Amino acid sequence: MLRGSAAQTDTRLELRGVIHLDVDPLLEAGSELRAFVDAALSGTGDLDASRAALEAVVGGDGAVRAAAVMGNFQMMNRLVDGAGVRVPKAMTEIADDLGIDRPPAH
Amino acid sequence: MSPGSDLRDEVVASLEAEWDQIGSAGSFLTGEERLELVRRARDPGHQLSGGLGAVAEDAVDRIARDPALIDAAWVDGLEAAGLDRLRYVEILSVVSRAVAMDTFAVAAGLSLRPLLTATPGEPSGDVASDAKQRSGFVPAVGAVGPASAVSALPGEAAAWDRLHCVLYLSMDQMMDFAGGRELTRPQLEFVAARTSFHNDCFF
Repeated sequence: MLRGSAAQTDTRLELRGVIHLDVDPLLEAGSELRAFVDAALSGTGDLDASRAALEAVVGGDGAVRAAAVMGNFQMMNRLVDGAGVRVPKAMTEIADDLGIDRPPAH
Repeated sequence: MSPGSDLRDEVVASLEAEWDQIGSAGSFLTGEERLELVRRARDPGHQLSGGLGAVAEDAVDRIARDPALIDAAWVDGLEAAGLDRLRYVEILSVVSRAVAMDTFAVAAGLSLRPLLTATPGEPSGDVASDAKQRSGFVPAVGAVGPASAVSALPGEAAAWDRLHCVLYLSMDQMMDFAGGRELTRPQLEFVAARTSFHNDCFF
């Protein structure tokens, strides 16, 4: 969805920036979004400060939406792992673009 | 969070209905039992009361804190220990949605929503008549996938759909790659991808 939506909207994006902190995602507000997710989910950094930094670039409602999407994928990750949803082989190819090992495919 | 976010108030109001649903009887668990699951998800030291027991505690702990470690052998083990797969689906649904809503609250700078009194009522026993275990670990309507993970239990499936729409996008909106919500679509998906990275979830 990330690669597809960036392509369809002609948005600059460096996919490896999803995974690697030393890579600029190039996406507008990408660094702020990444820092916000990290602060909320792993306690890395100051959550209030990262939220304020995100609000400064995407506005209050943008930061709320980021929090909401984070929540949604906390749910989705648990549902797919808990139900044993298998990763289709075609999806594993994106691992190369992300700079990570391919997961087992089905 | 900045005081001027109408969206925050809108999301919080929508989530009230979802918390009420969690605190009401599902297919197999009472409202109080479902709230107990959330208490355990929030606090691993909380012992489940009622008839839930240690196997349900194991289920909650793994779903809430280590979902990437869930595999077929573990789910088989739950069943061998007395937690049948449909009850497991209900636990999976409740805990996953509670984690979602709690994550939103923390990230948005809000307090966790207190767990109030459960709504009285008996479990419905509702199971989708065409749910079957084909692939994956649980029965589902059709092939098990992201949108059908809890489809064996109609009440849980409906709750999933509502929460997915409130927090992210409806299934129709998902097909419009150019459409966003307060953020651009690539920004939404970037958050999704980074969140999944944290959960070690490739999907």
